[in-house]
Amino acid sequence: MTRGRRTVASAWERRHTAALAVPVILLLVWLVLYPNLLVLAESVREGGRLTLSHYADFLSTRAELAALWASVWISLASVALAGLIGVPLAMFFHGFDFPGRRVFGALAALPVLLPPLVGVIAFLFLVGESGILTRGVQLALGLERAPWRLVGAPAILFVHAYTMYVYFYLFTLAGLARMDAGITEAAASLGAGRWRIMRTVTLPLLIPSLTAAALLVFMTSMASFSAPYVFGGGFRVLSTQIYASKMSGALSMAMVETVMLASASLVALWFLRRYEEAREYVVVGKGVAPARHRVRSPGVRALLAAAGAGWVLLLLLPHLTLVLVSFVPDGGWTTQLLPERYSLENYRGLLRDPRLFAPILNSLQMAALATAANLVFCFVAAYLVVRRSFRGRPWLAVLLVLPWALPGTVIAIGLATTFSANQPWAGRFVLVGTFWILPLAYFIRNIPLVAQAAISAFRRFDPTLEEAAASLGAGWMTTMRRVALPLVTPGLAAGGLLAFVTALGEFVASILLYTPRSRPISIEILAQLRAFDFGGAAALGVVLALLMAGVFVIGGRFVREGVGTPGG
Amino acid sequence: MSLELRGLRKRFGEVVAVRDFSLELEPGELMTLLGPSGCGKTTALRLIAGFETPDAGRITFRGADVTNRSPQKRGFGMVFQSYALFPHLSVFENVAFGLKAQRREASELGRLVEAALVRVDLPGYVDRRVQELSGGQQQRVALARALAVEPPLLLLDEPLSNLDASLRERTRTELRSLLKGLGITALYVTHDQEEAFDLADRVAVMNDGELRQVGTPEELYDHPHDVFVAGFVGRANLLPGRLESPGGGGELSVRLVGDALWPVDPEGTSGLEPGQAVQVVVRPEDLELVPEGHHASELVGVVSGRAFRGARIAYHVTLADGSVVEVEADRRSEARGGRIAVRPRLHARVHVYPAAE
Repeated sequence: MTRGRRTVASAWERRHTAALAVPVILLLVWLVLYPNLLVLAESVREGGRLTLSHYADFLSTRAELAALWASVWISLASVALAGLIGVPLAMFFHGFDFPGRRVFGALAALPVLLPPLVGVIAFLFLVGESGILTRGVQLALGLERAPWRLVGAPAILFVHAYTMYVYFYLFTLAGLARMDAGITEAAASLGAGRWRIMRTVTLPLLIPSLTAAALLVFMTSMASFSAPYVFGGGFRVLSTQIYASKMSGALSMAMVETVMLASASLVALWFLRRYEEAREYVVVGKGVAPARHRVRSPGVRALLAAAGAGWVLLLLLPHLTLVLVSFVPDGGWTTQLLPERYSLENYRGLLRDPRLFAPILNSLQMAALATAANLVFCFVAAYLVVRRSFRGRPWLAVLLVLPWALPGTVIAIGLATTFSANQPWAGRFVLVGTFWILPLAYFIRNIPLVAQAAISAFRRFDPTLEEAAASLGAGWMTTMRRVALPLVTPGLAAGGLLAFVTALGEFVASILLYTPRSRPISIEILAQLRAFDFGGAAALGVVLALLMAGVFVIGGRFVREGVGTPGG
Repeated sequence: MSLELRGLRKRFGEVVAVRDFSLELEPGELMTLLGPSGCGKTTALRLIAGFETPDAGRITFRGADVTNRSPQKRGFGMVFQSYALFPHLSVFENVAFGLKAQRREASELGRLVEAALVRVDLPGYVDRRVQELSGGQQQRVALARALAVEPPLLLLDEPLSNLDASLRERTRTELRSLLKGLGITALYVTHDQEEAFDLADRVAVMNDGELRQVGTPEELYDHPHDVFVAGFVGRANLLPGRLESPGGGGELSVRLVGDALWPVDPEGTSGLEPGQAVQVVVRPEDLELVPEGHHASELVGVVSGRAFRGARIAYHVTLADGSVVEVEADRRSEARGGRIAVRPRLHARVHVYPAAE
């Protein structure tokens, strides 16, 4: 019978649902929808009149069209390159069994956990103009100048491919894991060779996973800001163009660019939703033991292990460089291949100089505030989505994913527009320039992440438990506090941890909204780079990565031990 | 009157799960709601508990209309099929849950929880985690938890269906004596006829969202209101026939295949006319096998199978038109193959119902 969600709610239940849903939806409309509508309105307004002149300006300016085109082709090329790295890597780790397969297989997914800005500066230290690899080639060939410069489109593409392959890697792995080993065995028994099976069976079955991964890379690449910002030079994509317009005071143009970027992302989201089923099919994948090719010969095994390790090391090289550079004191590295002196000077500097230490505290504080708000808000929102039926429910679900689909730049421009004026009757207050604007931005950007975690946690436990509590005389608050909350806590906490860690390293929205008095770690890293204090920047990057790892280790233990597995 | 349901109706999309449902429970009565799966009995129970709201109808408890009252304000205890024990709480905390919601004194809790556990024969289990318990123990904790708050009405939704057969039978005997000892009014949903009869003072039979008959097990068995109840409660033979009035008076008989004429149980024949086509229902133990004797009441056929039922044996007799009649006989009786006659025993109840259109 129909359990969980009821078809016709009683009068008391309807009142109760409304009392919860109305504030939740209003808050989402105010913080997620309204700022974007304001941006849209600003883009078609000039001196109080409706006009399309800003769009005409956009379409008739070469630089603007070039940025739009750059965003699109960079994204398409990123999809192709990331696929070329990620898919073979997944097939390699899925198909062969060799010593160290699990460890290296897990390490290969690591880049997705690091904040993009940290990844970007890691590249700078490895293959930038004075990077280790660059110097190595220069010294080996006896060149007078660096053999290449890490600027413009090739640099951006290189970084994108190097970090976004993880989507293809993980989705392909999940797709392969879901694939019934019997299918490939059936094909083999019909006389198909290995390549024929790959071409006619494996790849077609992987298409849903690959499509989903491609759309995700496309969206991530369209939204990408760190790499184009640091390496772009004169080469602009839409996200950096928005930043430039905003900073130079061309606000109307910034609005048009924001609308363009948001539209592109929403179109991609629309396509992605059409593949939603495929995506769920992939993500839900169980780790069923697949038919892995067991290599007998010890020589070949060693070779495979070396190849796997080498491949992964190559992918993690930038991050290892970052750690290395963080131990290099000022002036400890000039023209040599590798630094000659190592010390803890940069780390001591972080602790001693309050100017350097403050951003760490700021980020921790702002991320904690945003995450606390995420936890409370998303718990209620997820409860409504999973347990109640009401007319606005589909809209609530859409509003909860929307911030995920919108690039950080778009969200930041929306907030900067909405909260720079004081019109309380229009829901606008001056928050720009205050401490509160960044926690607010982090809160909004992380709503989808935490809501999704809470929604799946609610789906995992039997609604009968809530009914049992009600039949024992417990009111709604008691039922939530004593039954629902303890049972969703592991899932909710996992989502909260990810949100906290993301907020800790947030850069894209921060650079548009930060105030000097409460600047976060990412902005300080950038300031260090600008001041050519590479060691300091690297040390901050490492501290950020360590903080995140620490949160995962401590939090992970809490999530596992806190409560046993929910539901029967 | 304790609980009174008047004209309840509940629709899920296109499916009407419960329709025109009226039922009354006496104080202290133990009633089972019996029906095949999907007949709407669980929905009916959830309407009473307050987890669903009826589209039409009224629910009254001790004279007060509770139709729109929330489940927690109704205060009816409930035992769920899945037990719905809180997995994150210990046995003690599970049983104390309702007491805490009632804001009972902390000093009382220990005593009340222990008393509730003693009642279900689980003393000393307070500190266990519920996952450590066996299915039968979990079922008892669920019962103790529901009873601890001393609810004025207890609702049970197939609470024994997840136990194995022997434990199920033992538990239901204990359950009945426990509930009767407490004098609590209870409604128990099940699809198992034996369980329903074992437990209940009265049984309410449901099918297709409708209540078909309410009565004691004996009433249901001996005087089923319709073909469904007759077939669902115990074993029954279904034969087509046509009513006759051989004596010309009020007494009716029924003419069966091969011209056999059987006297009809006078109860439940009101509204039926001679000449009307009817469905004949007769239980296997109300029939007997005799050598063919060309008597008017004899149905002639051949024994086509037999099934051993312990003290009794069931014979399957195939009639001339191919239909099969089941006859239950003493196990010492011996029926060989070949032609044989079936006839009602003395005082047999031959029920007739209007034939379906």
